[in-house]
Amino acid sequence: MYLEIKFKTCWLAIGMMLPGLAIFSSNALTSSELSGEIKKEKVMPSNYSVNVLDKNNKPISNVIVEFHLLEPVSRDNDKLAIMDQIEEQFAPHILAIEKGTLVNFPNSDNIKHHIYSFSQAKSFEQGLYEGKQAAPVKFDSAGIVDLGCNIHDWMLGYIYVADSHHFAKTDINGHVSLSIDNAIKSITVWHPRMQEKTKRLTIVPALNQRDLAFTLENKMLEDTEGYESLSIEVYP
Amino acid sequence: MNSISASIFLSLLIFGMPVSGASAVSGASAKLEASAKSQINHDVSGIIQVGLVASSNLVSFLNSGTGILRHDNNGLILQQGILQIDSDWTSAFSSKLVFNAYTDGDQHIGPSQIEIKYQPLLKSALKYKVRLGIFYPELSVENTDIGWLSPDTYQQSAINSWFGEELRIFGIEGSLFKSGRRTSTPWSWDAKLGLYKGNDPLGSVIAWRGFASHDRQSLFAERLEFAPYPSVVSVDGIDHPAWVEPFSELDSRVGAYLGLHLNYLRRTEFKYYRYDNLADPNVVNSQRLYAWRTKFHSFALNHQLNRRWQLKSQLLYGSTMMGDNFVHVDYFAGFLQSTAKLNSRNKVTFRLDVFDVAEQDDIPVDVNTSFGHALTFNYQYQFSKLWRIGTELHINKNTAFNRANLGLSPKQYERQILLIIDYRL
Repeated sequence: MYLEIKFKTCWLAIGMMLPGLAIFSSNALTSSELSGEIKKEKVMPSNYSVNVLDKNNKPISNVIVEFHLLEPVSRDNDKLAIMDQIEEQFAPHILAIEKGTLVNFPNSDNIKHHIYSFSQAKSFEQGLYEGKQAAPVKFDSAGIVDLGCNIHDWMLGYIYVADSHHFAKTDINGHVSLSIDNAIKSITVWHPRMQEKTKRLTIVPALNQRDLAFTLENKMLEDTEGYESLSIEVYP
Repeated sequence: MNSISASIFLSLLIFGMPVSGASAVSGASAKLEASAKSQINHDVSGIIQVGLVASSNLVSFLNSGTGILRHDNNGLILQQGILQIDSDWTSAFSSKLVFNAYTDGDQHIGPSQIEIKYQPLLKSALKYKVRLGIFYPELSVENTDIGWLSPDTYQQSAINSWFGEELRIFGIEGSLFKSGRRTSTPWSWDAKLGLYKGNDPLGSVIAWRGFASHDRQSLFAERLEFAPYPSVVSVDGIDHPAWVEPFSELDSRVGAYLGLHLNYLRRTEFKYYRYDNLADPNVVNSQRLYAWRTKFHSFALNHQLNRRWQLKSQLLYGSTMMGDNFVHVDYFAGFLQSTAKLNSRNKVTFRLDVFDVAEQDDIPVDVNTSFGHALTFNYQYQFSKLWRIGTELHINKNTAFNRANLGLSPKQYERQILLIIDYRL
C-alpha cells in the first residue's frame, strides 16, 4: 500500500510538473476556459447549468455532459491523460477526454494486466507489466470506449472521447455548469449505467435556454461499485 | 519419469487439437490493435524464505518418521525457494514455470508446475480459457501466493498440505466463465472441467500416515517418504514400499474433476470441486505401487468482511481405496482461518484445523485410522515490498493407531515455532 501511494503521488507530481497536460481530474475537465482558444469572432460566453436526475428524480453523479457546437472548431490537441491500474481497477472508472488526446496506461499494481477494448471508437489491446511503461494510446475518434482486462475480468473502465473540450462530469448533486464561448447545437449526457432508448440522451436547447435538466425515463443498471471496494486474494 | 513424459505427450496429442482449433472457431474474438510490436514478455519472480525453527522431536514423515510436521530439528532452515517464470507469447497464449528448491525431502530442486494457457480476447461476457500442462486445480482459497504458497501462513492447512504433496494434474482444464461486472450483476461464475492422467497413487499418504501440516510441495517424479509400517512393507502384508511417487500413471485411465466458482463482487468466493481420479485400484506396477481410486468433494469459502478482516474455510470429504479393498478409508478435513490486517505492515492469522481418516477395509492388521486437530498462529511484518519477517506457532494433537506397530504412542502432541524472513525477487 505504501508503494502504491508512492506511485499515485508520483503520477500526481508528474501531472503537476506538466501544466496543461494532466487532465485526469474532473476539475481539469470542467475548465474549458483554461484550455480553449481565444476566438477572433468572440461571442459573449454563455453560462450553462445542467442537472441530471434519475427516474426517481435523484441526482446522478459522474455523468458526462457534452456540449456540441453549432460550428465545430478543429484545433490541435497535445493533451496527455492517464488511466491508471490501481488495486486491479481502472482509475478513474470514467475518464473523459477530448478527441485526439493521448492516454497513458500506467500499472501501479505489482502484477500484470492485459487491457483491451472492442469499442468502435477505439479498439486496441495492451499488455501492462510491472515496472514497464507501455506506449500511450491516441484516441482520435469521438465515442465511448469500454475497457476491460483479460486477466482480471472484474476490471471495467470507460473513456469518453468528446468531439471538443466542452464537456464536464456531474458532481454529487448531478450538476454541471460550464461557460461556452460558441453557439451550441445540442447537449448530450451519458453514463455507463443508463438504459435509455439511445446510448446518449440529447437535448437541443432553445435559443436563450441556459438551465437544462435531464431526467432519465428508465431505471439505471444496478450499481456494481462494490467490485471496487473490497478485493479478496484470488488464484494468480 | 517415463510415464510422466508419456502422460504429457499424450495429453498434448489428445487435447492439443481443441486448443489450437479454438482460435479458429472463436468468432467473437477479433484482432485488436496492439500498441507494441510484439506481445512476447517474460516476467521472473520468486521468493526465498529462510529462518529458524524450534520443533518437537517426533521424526518427520520426510525423514521416514510418523510426525506430521515438516521439521523435526532445531536450527537454520530454508523454508522455501521458488522461482516463477511467467511468459506471454501472443495475445492469447501464455505460460508459467515454477521451480522449487528445498534442503529436505527426496529431491532438492526441480519443477512443481508447468502450464500453457490459452485465453483469447473475447467481446462477449461469456468467455473461456484452457490450461494444459502439470498444475494444481484451483480448488484452494488458501494458496493464492506465488508458487502455490499461502500468503498468510507458512505451514498450510491439512487439506492443502495433502494436495501439495500428492495432487497435481497432468492434463488439460477447460473453463467457461462469466463476469458479473460486465453484465452489471454482483455475481460471477466460472465452471471448470479437468481431464488428466498421472495421479494414480493419490491417497496413499493419508491412508497410512494421515493428514499433515506443512508447505513441502512434491516436485515432479519425487518420492514421498513415510514410516516403514510393518503391515505395509512386509511381504506378508501389503508389500508396498515406504514411499510413493504420487504423480505416477499406472492404469492408463483418464481422471476427471469438475469445479464451480461463484463470486459475489470481489468480497466472497465459493468453490466447489468434485474430484475423481477414476483409477483402477487393482493395478499395481513393478515397484509395488498401486493405483488408488480417490474421490472427494471440496468446498472452499473466502470472504472479506471488511478491508482488514478476511475469513477462509475449506471442507473436504471423500474416500480412497487400493487393491481388492486392501486399504479403504473415508476421510474428512476442514479448516477455518481468520486473517486481520492490523495496518499496511502488520498481519495476524489464526487457523483451526481438524482432520480424520476412518478405516473401511478388510485388513484390520493394517491400521489406517488417524485423526487430530491443530492450531496455527502467524504474525507477519512487511518491511517493504520485497522484505517481510514473520513468526508462526503451530501445535497439534494427533492420533495414528498404526504408530503402535512401530513401538510409538499413537497419540502425539507436536509443536513448532518458526521465525522466517522473506525476500521477493
